[in-house]
Amino acid sequence: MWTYIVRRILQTIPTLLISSLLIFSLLYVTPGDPVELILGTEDANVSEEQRRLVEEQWGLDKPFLVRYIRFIKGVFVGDLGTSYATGEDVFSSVIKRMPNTLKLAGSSMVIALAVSLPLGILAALKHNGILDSVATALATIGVSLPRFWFGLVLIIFFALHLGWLPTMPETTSMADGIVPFMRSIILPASSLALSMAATQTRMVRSSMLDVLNQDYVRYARSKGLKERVVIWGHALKNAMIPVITVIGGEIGGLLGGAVITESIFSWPGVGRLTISSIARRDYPMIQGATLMLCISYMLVNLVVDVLYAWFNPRIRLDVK
Amino acid sequence: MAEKMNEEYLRVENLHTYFHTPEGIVRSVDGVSFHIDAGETLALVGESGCGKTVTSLSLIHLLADSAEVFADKITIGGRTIEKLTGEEARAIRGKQISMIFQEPMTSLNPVYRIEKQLSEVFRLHEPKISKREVYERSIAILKRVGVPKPEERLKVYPHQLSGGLRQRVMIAISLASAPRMLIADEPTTALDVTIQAQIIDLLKGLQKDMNMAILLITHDFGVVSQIADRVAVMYAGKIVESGRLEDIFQDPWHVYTKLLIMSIPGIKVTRGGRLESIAGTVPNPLNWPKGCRFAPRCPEAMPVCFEDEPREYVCGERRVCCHLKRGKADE
Amino acid sequence: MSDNSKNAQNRNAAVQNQIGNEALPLTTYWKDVRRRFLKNRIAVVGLLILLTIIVLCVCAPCFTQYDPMMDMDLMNTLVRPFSKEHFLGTDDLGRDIWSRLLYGGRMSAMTGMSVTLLSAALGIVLGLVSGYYGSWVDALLMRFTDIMLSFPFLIIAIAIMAALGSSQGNVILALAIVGWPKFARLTRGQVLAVKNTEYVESARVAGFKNARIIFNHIFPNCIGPLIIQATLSTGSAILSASGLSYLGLGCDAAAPDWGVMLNQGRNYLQQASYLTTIPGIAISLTVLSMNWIGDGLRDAFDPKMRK
Repeated sequence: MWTYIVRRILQTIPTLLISSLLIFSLLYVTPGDPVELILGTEDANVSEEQRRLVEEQWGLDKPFLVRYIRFIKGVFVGDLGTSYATGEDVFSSVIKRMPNTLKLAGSSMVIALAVSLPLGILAALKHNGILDSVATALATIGVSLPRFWFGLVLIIFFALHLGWLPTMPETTSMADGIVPFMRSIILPASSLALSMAATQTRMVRSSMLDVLNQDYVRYARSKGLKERVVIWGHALKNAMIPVITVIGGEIGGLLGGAVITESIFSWPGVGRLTISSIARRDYPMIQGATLMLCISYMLVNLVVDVLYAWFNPRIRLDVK
Repeated sequence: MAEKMNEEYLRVENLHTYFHTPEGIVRSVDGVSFHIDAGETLALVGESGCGKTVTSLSLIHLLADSAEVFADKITIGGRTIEKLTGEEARAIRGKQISMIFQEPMTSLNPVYRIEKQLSEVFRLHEPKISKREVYERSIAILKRVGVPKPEERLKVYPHQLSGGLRQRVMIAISLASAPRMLIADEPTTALDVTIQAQIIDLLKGLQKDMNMAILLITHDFGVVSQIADRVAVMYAGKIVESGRLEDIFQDPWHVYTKLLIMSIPGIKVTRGGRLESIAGTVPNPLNWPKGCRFAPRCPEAMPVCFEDEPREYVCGERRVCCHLKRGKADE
Repeated sequence: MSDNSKNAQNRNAAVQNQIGNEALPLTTYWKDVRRRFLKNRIAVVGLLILLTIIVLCVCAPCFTQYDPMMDMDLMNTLVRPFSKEHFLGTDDLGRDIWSRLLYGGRMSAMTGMSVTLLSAALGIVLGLVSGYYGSWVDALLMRFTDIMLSFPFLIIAIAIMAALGSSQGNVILALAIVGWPKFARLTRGQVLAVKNTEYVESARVAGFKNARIIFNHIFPNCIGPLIIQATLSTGSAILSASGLSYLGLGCDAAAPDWGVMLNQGRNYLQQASYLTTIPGIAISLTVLSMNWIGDGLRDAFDPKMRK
């Protein structure tokens, strides 16, 4: 298994490099003059003197490669530049908000699993029954709804009509009490969880159906084992293997969707930061935030892959 | 094989298994009767699709929900069972009747170690058993089936074993509960010829030790000749001929049996000596033909064969369903 | 043994009868697919819904008399739905929502289809090349595809939009860039499956040029899965495009577009929630019908049809 893990880590490195290059290069493709952005002026009345000063101060006069390397180094050192708009340090702004985004993504993963696992398994067990049709229909509908719209609908219904939950988060930290935290996070997390729960329900169901048709399930029954043991022990453990793979693929959607969800619910995470930076054309912030998002995304993927290797004994024992 | 008079373990009378599918009713097993004594091996022989596997699965209720199983009488271990409920079937499975399948690779759970798959059988039938006892019994039974270095083998996963070892392990698991009868569905088909012989010897030895009945399902007459005491030949959901092994081999009554035997390479037969194959294919189980089901492929078919289903002619231990009633027939 | 010949005759007749009783398929591949598709009730429902939506949007002027952008009735803003003059009410500038819905559908449909066409074109070509030529071309392209596929696509789309600026054209471009890897990988898989069949071998031996082999022999085999992917991609493109519009990254705010309408509704969640729910239902219904069709196609193309 260790060779597998090492190999995976090695695979991540070039991907990271290429993506960081792409993200960094975006700055060069953008229209608009960074100097003007920094100075906050839209007109062309920037004197040569001022321009040179700004460029020197912000390192805008150095060649591409130098700036890129500084950018990469910044990840390890903790310096990703300074915001054009607010003058804040990019790295610390992002890091401050990262836990919020991770909490949101994590909770929505939990919600998605809590919904999709039982639903998918039951749908497979009562194959072609009413529950199966309902579950499949719900799953398809879930995939078709625009995620951000679902969030808005949740707000309309639970926050405005029923008044049960707040429209904006009261707190993002569990230290302020479990109940306020739950009240704040449940709507955004549910909204984010929707499409993932939908795809996962279908995945769990089809994986379980597959497994239930396998010989070893029949053999386990022939041993006289209780049906409960056959399903929850023998069948389920096998059915989970492809599901974990799918979860890994869905993580990307989670982090991407978090961007929009955070905007809707005013959740102070990295996604919301990115969106507002785009509106303000604050490129260092956009770069920094996007890069950090990508890095976390790859780390999470790595963890999922390791979990998968652990679950699947064929990989764990390095049998070709 | 001189057999002492053993008590009868299994008796099946007029078993039917129908599958209800969207295309219609599939009559896989259509009136099958047989019996097996303790310590005896009955071979159920036939081409693929004749219903032999379905017959065996029907006995222990291991079919899909769309299956309908009914019979005049089923007696297992002296107990007559009218209608087998799910829970009753489960109690029988593993404890009284065990089964081994053709493909050991796909039958063993790939994510569980061998020791877990073995120990859960012990624990199922004896919930209070201690870990130490389970371990010792696991080692013992692995040794008995001829698995070398059983201590190591307990800790591995199925994909780490060779085909022959996997089959032995499956036999070990099935016998862990000391069943009175073993159903072996094509146990050697997926194995090399040399390993085949070993497995067959193993089964014979185990049978003798445990006085176990064996229902052997196969299409391979070669295997039949090595282990079976009696033979039942199945075609299109019915048993067309049955009797003792020697009798059937030396003088097959049904044409199908004759053709099957003649298609075995190397077997000396009373007529000809050519390797023959049987023309045509098994008919569609959704729509069995009228009359004798083998008639369309039978080289000796008479007009009546296409009209009436042949009745069973009994002569001592031999039975045959054929209009060309051979041998002395009791009418 | 004169009996034998008669028996042989009987036997032959019986065998012939059996063969005659088998239902031999008499249809072509495509007819068979269509038949299976039409038997699937959900897929047919999806098709009907989609056709209704298409008719409504294409013939929008027939179904509404208001202009979606210009007709601003400032005396009658925020009228609730099912009122006498306005079927679905009006928005904050007095524009009729039903009209904006219908005309917006045109925009969304066009966006969705453009994205799919563009990403399909790019992806298919790359996939064909990659699969057919193999070796380092393939390795390089696949590595690149993997990288792109493993990214959270929305983030990439947003980053691209940030670089290029907001406009509907850029939305289409960004989504196409994000969307081609799926087509490439699909095509490549199909090409690889077909490439080594004898069918292609014989074409090559007969001396056909590579390009001709690719287009005449390999491509037709890939069409099935590609159609399915295209259907599903269009639905997903509509979703993403409306998301980007909602963020203000799409076409400008006055134009009738479902995502833009959702954006405008954001300020009126409390008092006029229908501004939000109605366009959302439109998007959902459209994408849902496309998903049902796509699923139906998938089942229709796959003869094994394990539900």
